[in-house]
Amino acid sequence: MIPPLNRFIVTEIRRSIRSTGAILAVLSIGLVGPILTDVLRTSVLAFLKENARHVLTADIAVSAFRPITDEELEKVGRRFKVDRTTREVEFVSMVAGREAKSLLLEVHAVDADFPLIGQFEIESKMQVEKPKLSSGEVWLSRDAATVLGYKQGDELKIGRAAFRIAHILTGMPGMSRTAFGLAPRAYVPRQGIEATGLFGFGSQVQHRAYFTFNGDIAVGEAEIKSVLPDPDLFVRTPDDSTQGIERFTQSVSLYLALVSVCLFAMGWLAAFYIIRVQAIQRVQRAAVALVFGASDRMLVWLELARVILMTLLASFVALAFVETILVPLEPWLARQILTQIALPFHLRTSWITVGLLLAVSLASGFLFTLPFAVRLRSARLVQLFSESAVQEDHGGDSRASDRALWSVLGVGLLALLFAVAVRLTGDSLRGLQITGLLAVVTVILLVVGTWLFRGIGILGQRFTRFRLLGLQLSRSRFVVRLSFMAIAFSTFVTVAIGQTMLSLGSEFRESVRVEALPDFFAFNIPEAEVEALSAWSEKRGLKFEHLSPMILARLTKKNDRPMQGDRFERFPVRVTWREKFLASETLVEGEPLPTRFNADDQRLPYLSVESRFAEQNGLHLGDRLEFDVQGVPMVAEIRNFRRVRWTDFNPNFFISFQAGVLEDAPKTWLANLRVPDRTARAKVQAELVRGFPDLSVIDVGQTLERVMGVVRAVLGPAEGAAMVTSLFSLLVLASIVGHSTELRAREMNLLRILGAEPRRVRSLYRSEFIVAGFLGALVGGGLGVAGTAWLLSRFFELSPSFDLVRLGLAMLIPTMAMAAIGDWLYFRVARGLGFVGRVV
Amino acid sequence: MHVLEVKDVSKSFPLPSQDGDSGANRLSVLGGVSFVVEHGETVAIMGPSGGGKSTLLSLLSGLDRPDQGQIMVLDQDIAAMNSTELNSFRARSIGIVFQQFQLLEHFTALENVRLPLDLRGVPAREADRIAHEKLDRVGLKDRSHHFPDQMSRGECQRVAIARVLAMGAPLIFADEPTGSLDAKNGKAVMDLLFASAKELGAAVVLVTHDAELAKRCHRTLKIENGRLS
Ligand SMILES: Nc1ncnc2c1ncn2[C@@H]1O[C@H](COP(=O)(O)OP(=O)(O)OP(=O)(O)O)[C@@H](O)[C@H]1O
Ligand SMILES: [Mg+2]
Repeated sequence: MIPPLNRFIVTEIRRSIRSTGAILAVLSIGLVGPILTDVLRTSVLAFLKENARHVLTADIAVSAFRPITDEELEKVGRRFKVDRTTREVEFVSMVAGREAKSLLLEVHAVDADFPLIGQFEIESKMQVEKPKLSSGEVWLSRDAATVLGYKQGDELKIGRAAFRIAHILTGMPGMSRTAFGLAPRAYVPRQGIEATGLFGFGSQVQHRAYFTFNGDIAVGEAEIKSVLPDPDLFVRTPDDSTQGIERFTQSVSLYLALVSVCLFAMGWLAAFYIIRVQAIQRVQRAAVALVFGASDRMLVWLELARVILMTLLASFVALAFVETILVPLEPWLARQILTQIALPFHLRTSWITVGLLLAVSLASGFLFTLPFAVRLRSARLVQLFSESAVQEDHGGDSRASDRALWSVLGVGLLALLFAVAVRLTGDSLRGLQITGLLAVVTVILLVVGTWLFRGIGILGQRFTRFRLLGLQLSRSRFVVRLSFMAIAFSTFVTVAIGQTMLSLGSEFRESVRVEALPDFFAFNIPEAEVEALSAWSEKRGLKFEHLSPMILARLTKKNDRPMQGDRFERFPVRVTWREKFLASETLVEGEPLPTRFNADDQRLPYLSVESRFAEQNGLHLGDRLEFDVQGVPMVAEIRNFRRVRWTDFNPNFFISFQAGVLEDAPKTWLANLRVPDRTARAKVQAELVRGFPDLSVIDVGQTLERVMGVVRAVLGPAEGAAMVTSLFSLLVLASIVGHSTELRAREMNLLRILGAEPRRVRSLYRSEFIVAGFLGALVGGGLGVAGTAWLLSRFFELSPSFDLVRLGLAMLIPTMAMAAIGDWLYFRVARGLGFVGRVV
Repeated sequence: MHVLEVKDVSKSFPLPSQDGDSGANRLSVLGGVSFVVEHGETVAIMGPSGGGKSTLLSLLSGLDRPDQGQIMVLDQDIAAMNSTELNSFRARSIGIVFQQFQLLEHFTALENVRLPLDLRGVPAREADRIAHEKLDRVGLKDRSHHFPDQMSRGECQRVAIARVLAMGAPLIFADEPTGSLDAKNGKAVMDLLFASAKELGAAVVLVTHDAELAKRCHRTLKIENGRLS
């Protein structure tokens, strides 16, 4: 560009330094969310992709609920060149600690060359490639050691065998497969593990073999599957092993994407508003330039250059800001990840992010310039000189060019939001959903807002005192309407997230207090010990409840068609039988099951299926399901669907049979234990572990605590994000309102010339914003309450318990903030502009 | 009793000096202006550009304050009133017609005319009745629900006149009311203003560069270099 034009642009920016500052602020704050989300998401996914082999600790793993034979391993070895192999056996077991402490432990019995990929870290900060575990030694994770009160050198009993704690582990290879680390890990030598006596039939022991080899993993996977066709053997690849955490990352980033797309949209709209106000004034100046020989095109190009310079600058500021945040964020996140995967983690801003940012800046620049271009084109020069060019918007912008402009901008913004959402979720359908959701909410708010304000206008006409206020609101200008929408939106987000969190929290807390909740949940109870356990409980004065059998079966077919889905191929489903529902179960559809199956009836046995499971897998009443129960085929018909209150911690199952069908199948048992004397809990648990080393017991209270911790950890930041949204929407409002002073000045002067006292004008302005804010809070709060109720019933099957004080505050605070904004507007207008010059 | 009595009014503005301190230098715009306007009288103020006509009008209507002198409207000195008193006094006694009409863009014709009544707290029905009547008077009965940008410039100025009539003020100021209208529209608007002022018995003080228009007034004051000549 030629130098004088450059100078022109710089002068223009300097002259409107405050507006430019405001534009930069709202645009760049709006961009921070998307950039940050993008960096987080892409970094985590890239980390997982790069380290998937570390997570699996091998190139391929084969696992089974039965021992993998040497013969099977040899078959694999014969088929292609395996580099290295190692084996692992994993099971859970209760262990006792010091002073009546006990814990559910995830025991890994491994060979000397485990892990093939990855390493251990021991407390003395040393990194150890291989656990040189001698027989009779255990390496215990630090979590477990802390809970049990053990240190290096102490003795730990697992089942019937005793081990000496050789090392305390701070880092382990691979990834904890137990959700939320409910059961910390211990490593023991595989040789001689049978001595624990924990391998009775039906106990859930996983056997694994790991391989490394040179070559394509997908090919290897296919080959191993063809060599080992037994459906009991599951082949896992590195990608499979990261699926869980990948899905978690995706759902977190879905939430972040939703929030940050909202922030972006708000910032964008605010910037657009300010730029448009500038444009209106600028057109007048431009007209002068036109008269003195500038061309339309040149002026539009100049404006475009100026605007793009601003959007680029905003992008740069946002990017720089994000990079600054990343400095403390990276080590924190790395620490979080380290608890799951013992590998260094880095946050990287990819060039794609930067490129997209550039594209968004350019596209926004073009859209932002449109109002100027259109106005300049449709401006009649004569008018420009004789009329004040600052024109107020009142709802009914009647000009066709304006309507076309608005639709182009609307479509443009939606396209931008869609592009950003797709990038942030990595999924065009999700992107579409987010954009669609925003569009729908906006339309609803627009329609509701229009009717509300119109209603107020009509109502206000009846009362002399409220006439002016009613008029002002019913002709609601862009700013007032936007205030309504922004407040409605941010109240919606705060209420929905806050109340959901509260309801979840109180649900869990109440559950703990509820008498229905057991103290312990016992599983892996061998058939042979059921009676002894029951007798022991009785002697101790405990309640031994809901004793239920558990059978592992593979779901093979539905209505004679093979089941679709990895999940059924890989994992058996756990089924039970029972004669009637537990208190935590309710029938939602179909008939209750007849108590016992009678083979003479000439019909299939009946099933009861959990309703959510049925929904997810497309099951219907009357469907015939075929199972493989440890080699025996079994067909049954779905008779009813039932809802399960999982938080009761009863032995609940997705699929439950009629009695009289599965009794002969190999099984273990589950039961609830209640300790009437609460003070005796720890003692009872310790005795239980010593007396029945084969069974596993979960301390329900402690587990709930951990789950609550996770819920808090997830919802805390979620609520934080909601707060940021609210704060930002107020900031956006303030910046927009601050730029509507020009439009208000004439009105204010006129009102005063016509005899309105300053106090009257001030209260008029304040009321205008209070009403807009209050209506917004009301509508947003209402939507939030409805959304919470929907969310809770849909995903948690809970009825919401609303905290009225918080609800009230969530609505009161924005209303008060709006009062402050109204006052601020009044003072800005009153102070900033000469009283006379404007009108006369 | 005069409707307006101006006694020895002066006004000056600070001049920003070259080196930044705006202390001593002042531009004297009006120096010792005195005159009287009687009830129902129409007075034109003429003079060269920059002579201080608009400045004088803003002082007379209480939008700005004189450095010295008295401005008696209906025997009350508006220069001595505080701003609250001035506001309510102006709402009843002083009507203004502007060159740029100064209608609120987001209000309809009716609502614009009604605005001073609403501000004054006139009961809703009464206000509606008066506004309709005045709109009818300026011949815009069927445009009452139109917004300013749906009306011609002449019509807008007629709405502004209806607004002044609705106020019922005994004293009307107009600063180049025909300045942004063509000759034909300008004449129609002035006919209306003169006729309705006569009906109300209101005095009109109007600033104009149009000699023809000035001739239609009872009296013409010439202002030059801040002094009546
Ligand atoms: N707020 C102000 N500060 C400084 N000088 C002012 C101010 N207002 C008016 N003036 C000056 O006072 C003088 C008189 O201005 P005024 O607007 O009253 O003239 P006018 O007679 O109405 O002219 P025109 O016929 O062009 O409208 C001018 O020289 C003007 O520059
Ligand atoms: Mg003038």
